[in-house]
Amino acid sequence: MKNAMPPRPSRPRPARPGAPFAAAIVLLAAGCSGTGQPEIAYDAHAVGTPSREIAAGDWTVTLDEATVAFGPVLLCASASGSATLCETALSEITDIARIDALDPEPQRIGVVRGFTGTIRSASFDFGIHWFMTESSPVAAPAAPGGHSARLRGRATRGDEALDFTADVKVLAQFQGQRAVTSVPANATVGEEGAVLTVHFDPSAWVAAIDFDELAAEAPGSAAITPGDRAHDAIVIAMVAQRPPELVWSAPP
Amino acid sequence: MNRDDFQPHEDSMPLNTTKVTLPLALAALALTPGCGDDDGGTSEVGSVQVFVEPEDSIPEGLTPGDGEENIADGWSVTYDRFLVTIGNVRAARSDADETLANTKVHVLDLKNSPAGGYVISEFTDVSAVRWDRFGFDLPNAGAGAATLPPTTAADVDFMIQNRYSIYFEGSIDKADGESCPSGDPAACVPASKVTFRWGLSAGTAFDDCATEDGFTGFAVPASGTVQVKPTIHGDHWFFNNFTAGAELTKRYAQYIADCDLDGDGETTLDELRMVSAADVFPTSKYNLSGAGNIQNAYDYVLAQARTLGDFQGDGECPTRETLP
Repeated sequence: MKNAMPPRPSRPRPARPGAPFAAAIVLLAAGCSGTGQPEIAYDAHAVGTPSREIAAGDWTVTLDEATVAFGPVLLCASASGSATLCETALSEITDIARIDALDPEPQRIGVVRGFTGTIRSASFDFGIHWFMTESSPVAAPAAPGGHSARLRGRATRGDEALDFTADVKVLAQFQGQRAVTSVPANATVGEEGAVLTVHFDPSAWVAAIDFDELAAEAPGSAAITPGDRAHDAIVIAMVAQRPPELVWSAPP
Repeated sequence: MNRDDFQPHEDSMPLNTTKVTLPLALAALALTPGCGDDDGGTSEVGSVQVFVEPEDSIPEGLTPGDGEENIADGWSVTYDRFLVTIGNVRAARSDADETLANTKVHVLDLKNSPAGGYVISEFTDVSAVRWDRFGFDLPNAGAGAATLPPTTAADVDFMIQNRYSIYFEGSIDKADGESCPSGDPAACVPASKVTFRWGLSAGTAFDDCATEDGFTGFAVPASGTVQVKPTIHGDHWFFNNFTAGAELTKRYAQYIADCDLDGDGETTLDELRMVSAADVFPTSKYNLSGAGNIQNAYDYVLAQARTLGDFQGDGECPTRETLP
């Protein structure tokens, strides 16, 4: 599956997905029609967490770069955002944005479009989607180097230092699913709209790495790629341990 | 109509009639089908029989292979003992205020389940319509838990003393199996059989149960009886994701062998706690999203145990809430 997905050239700005996704949007819109609920649209932003020293076993880790692709996002009324329970989203962000997850300033990632109502769960991708219309996962242009994230930093233990980069791919497991199948959400959005802020803490992701093992395998400098155990540790942190947190607030 | 208006009905479970105690009497009082007009009750009524049935994977185990229900990495699974705590059956209608409820809780031996399953609740004079909201609990066992034969009193005491919602013991077997502690391929040793004895306090409420085809709840036939079947599966801790709504998954058992850190042929819960999720759940096979913070193999097993409550065979109950 991974081999079937060639790297895509990176672009420094958010980009819309292609025709297959547009078709999916049409289907979603058709599925949502007739609900009687007013349509709404409101802005979504990403907020990063500034780099900080974080402990990972005996190591102290600091990130210098955390470039992350985020989206698309489906927001569901059901308690689970899984594809089988949320075939029709209450609202969605179709854009796929590239963000600096170390920047605490709000970065616009797109527009939430959909209907008023209560949101109980969300599902999303990290820049690599696998829609029903696609035979394999596809990296969006916003995905850095065709990956979901690129992390770069240094881990130190006493006098020992380990510079590392991680090119991370977070993939949906099955066609039609999102990479993060469901995270809890709690918002009721009325006709007045809202602002969605998505919080990222990439330092927590790299804290999951076993740096003892990584330093033993690649003293001084390590390049973490898909298939490595350190890569899996980051992915699990991104999807299950410290996934982005979605917070709604009143519109300005 | 509110609860005060409900007409209590006699609990007609034949297997329990010789053991009517105060808790059972209270449970019978809680068995509260609505049958008036104020809450949408209908003049035509039927009955509901709720019985618990184990998935075949519990009495028969799981076999290796490429089929949907097989273990994909060559291991077979055998259960020697499988106990579950189950009860607090409830149903409601979205189009009316009627409710059904029976708060009684049972400890049941699913390895030795009767051929027809365990009947844990019956409701009579129930409005003959669709009851689209059905739920039940797999609670941590507490005082007052009942049972049905052939489950033994010792089984019940064991579950209550440990406050388990589920307990199972068995083994995984593979002729050329290996245990690679913490998933380290350089540390693999032969392991053709690895046993487990895992008791979990994974109390969970399951609601909004739907059939595999997506039909929520159940329909009561006029003058007839509908059989409603909470189904307990024995394979969720082999899934490679956390299912919700449909069991779109594959099954792997290697992690159990790889968590046998001391190589004694048994993987304990303490050993599961010591193994990082990234060590035994490679992302090329597993997606651990959707179940909260999974740090280690124990977290994975516990989270899977909170998905066990299924419905009418392979249907699921996607609204899940942790119980104390």
